[in-house]
Amino acid sequence: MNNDEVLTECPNDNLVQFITDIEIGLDIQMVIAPKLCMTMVQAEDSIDFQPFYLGEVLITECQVTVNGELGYGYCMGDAPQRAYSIAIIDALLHMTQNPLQTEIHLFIDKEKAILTKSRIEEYNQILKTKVDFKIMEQD
Amino acid sequence: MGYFAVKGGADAIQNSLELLDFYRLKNATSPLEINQIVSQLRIAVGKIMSEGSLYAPEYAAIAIKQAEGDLLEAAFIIRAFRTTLERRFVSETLNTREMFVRRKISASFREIPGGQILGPSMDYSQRILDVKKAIETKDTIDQILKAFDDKIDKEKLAAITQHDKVIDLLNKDGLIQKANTDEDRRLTDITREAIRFPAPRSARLQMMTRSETGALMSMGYSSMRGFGSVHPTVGELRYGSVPVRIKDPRGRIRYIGAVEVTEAEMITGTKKHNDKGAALFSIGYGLCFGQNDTKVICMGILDTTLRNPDTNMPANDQEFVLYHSEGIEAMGFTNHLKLPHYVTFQSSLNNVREAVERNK
Repeated sequence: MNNDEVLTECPNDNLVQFITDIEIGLDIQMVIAPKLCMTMVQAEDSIDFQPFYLGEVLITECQVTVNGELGYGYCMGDAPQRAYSIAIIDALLHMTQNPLQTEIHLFIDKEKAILTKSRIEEYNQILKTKVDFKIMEQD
Repeated sequence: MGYFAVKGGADAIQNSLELLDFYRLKNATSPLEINQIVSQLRIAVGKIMSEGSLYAPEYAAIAIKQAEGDLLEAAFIIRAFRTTLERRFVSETLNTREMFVRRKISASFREIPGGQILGPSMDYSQRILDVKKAIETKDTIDQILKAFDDKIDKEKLAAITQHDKVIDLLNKDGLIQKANTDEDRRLTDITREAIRFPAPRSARLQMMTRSETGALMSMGYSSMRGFGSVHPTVGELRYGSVPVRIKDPRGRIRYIGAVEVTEAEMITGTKKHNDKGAALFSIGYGLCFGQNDTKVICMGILDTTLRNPDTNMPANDQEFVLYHSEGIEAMGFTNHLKLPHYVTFQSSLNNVREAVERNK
């Protein structure tokens, strides 16, 4: 699970609170305010690998500069706060001298642990539906 | 008979729309919340995203609410909405082998890699009306969730694993017929380029993944019943979440979320054999947004029929299948019959009256 996966999947409230806590003291300029747009999803069949378009996904896009460094935020859905937050973190992580390196990694690691636990639990619930049908002649 | 442009009626149309809302709300029940629809009408939301051709669960839920549960109308609303948005990206190719699998079954093989996982499915339900659903409360929902949560021992959790697909095994054994080398493999986008027949396979798959489930099912069913020649088995059917990634302006591949999809590989026997004399299989492919077994199974059947064109069999006729399973167009054309046809109808009526007079 990489940083983008954590930031797009973690609870929105947690992410917004984290950004509220760290943005004081940062010079944040909006380049592209959060806006809705679409991404066309390209798929392929699983045998011949012939490409085709599956349909579009609604996404929110945002671009900011943080202390002059560009950051790009993208996430699925109508989620302006999340896209804005991801853009800020992207800018910070792209800096050679990131003043909030530790805080960001602590936040991501914490959220990643929660998401991973939740996913493993869901997986184990799904495994409960594993079936082994017996053919009638078998015991 | 054609229809004519009419004018006027704005007040009546506005009043009609208000009356529509009145009938939806007149019993003053609690408002349907969008997250309730997303969560509790999950299958319907998936259908709207697939037919509306836009993956946006909350917006699909709003459309369902707005259309009072008319799924064709809801899909129409979503298709209209998507035309208002700019397409900024094309994703990296979706890799369904990365799927977080919630369901995977095969009707062709009893033992498949990782085993058969029923997942969330109504397949073996008794279809007995569960009247307890009528008296569900917040408390009963909490009890159900608690009991469900207690089913697993959180100290002994299995790690998430991914497994080969059934078709990968068949492929390794050289049992799958290769696609014709002269097949049209161009990647076209039917939302940007009007479809022409014969259509490349990419256009056919794109049209089928957007098509109306019931219509697609009737076409696939016709082939299985004998008005066609394809009666396959499910090689593998999977439902789960697949990551979507785009390339950002720095050229980095970025994860933007996961889409829930259903995927089917449908196996059909062929008359061809490999070098060792073993009979080869052909695979029909189905993939759509949401959880919709019926749709991907029929898409897989029709992928095979449409690769074998034959205008004597409806399900093998590209134009017949693709145009008539396109729900939004079909609904639009059908409903245009309600629009005023007064002038042309009057003209027809006059012709009939004159003919009757002449024959007196």
